[in-house]
Amino acid sequence: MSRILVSPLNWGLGHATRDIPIIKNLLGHNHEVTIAACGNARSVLEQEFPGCRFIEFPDYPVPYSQSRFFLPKLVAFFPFILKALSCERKNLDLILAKDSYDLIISDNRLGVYSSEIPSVFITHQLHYHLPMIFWPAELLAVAMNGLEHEKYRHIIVPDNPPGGKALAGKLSRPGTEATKKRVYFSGILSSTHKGDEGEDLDYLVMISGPEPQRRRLEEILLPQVHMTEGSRVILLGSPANHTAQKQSDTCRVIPYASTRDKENLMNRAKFIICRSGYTSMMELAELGKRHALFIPTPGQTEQEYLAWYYEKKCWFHSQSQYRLDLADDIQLARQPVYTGFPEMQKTEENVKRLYDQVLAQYIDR
Amino acid sequence: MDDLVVTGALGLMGFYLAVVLLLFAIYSVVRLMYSSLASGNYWLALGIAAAIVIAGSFYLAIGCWLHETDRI
Repeated sequence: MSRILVSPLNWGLGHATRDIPIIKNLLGHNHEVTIAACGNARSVLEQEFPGCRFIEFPDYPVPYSQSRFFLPKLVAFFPFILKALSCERKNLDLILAKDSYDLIISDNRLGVYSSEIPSVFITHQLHYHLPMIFWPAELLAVAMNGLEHEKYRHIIVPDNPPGGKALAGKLSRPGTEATKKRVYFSGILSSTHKGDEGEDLDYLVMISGPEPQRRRLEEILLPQVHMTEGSRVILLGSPANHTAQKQSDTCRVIPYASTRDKENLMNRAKFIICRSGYTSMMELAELGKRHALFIPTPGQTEQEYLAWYYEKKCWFHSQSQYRLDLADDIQLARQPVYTGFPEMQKTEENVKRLYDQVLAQYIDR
Repeated sequence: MDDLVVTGALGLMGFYLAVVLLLFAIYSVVRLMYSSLASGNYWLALGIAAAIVIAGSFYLAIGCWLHETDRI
């Protein structure tokens, strides 16, 4: 039995949820997993793994913006992120001084590594996307990523290798020799499972992401959803309100759904409307959904790129929330030209392969 | 201090220095253009404007080429 420290970033729940299959696999091999996290990421993992040991481990401030200008705010946040990074390194030293570990798994936490303990890094962004006008900054970020990756034994990318089936497009393409030497494409990693439920729900609308853009999308979508026909469920992703609202016989608004309920609804949905966050994309790929409409969060360059990339690949239709005409866009998204994601290996096989080919060499000694 | 933090701090300082230099360059060019127009030296002003357009086009062309060749 080995001892493993897993530390996901708490910028959204995507990092924590994609680590769930990895942690399950490690526990299945009788390893001892300690989870160092904070906020909602910690809460989700505590619910999922009540038997694991948890350490409160703060990460970086989240520079989400009220407007579409996320990038300038991120740049202004750099000094605060750097300060948080410095604290993260000191806190990690304290954690490692108290207990010994055989492996460190960092999900997008830049300061979680050790020169003495094998460390692996999970990320789907080897290449940050910026508006074209900032191309020198994009190239510089690729080089900086390479420097950061030198700290790790492996860089695990939850995507298929670059090529026709890569879900993250250029984002998961290694740009430096340091990254190329360490990268391991695990394939998609999702905590959502394909169920036996039939597809009896016409539309599932998932309004998620950071405030205030989540609320903005709610304001744009709700009036338009009521003009569509068929059975509809709207997930507001707003945990503050736990009261379900029934809008009509065919339309239900649920302020917040547990991960199990959300999984059930996603399985039942014939058509999904959601943000183009990478975790949602892995969920759709895991469930083999063919019909969806994506609405990227304004200013989040990663989501904007993915929306553009899927449109270019003719996998899914996307629309900006400022130009959204739901009835028209649903009709467009249903066109046969959009094929959905290609067939790919699912999480269960991917996580087994990841363990055998990467993780086992550090912990099964 | 941790090398990651030192590298980050140096990178950040370099970035902010580059922004300051860029803003200073823009200010200097605008001032030069203004003074050349004020002194009636229209050829100099035209030359500066042409240089800005050429440099800007070159910059954008490189960006387009990088995008088209899938490098960014």
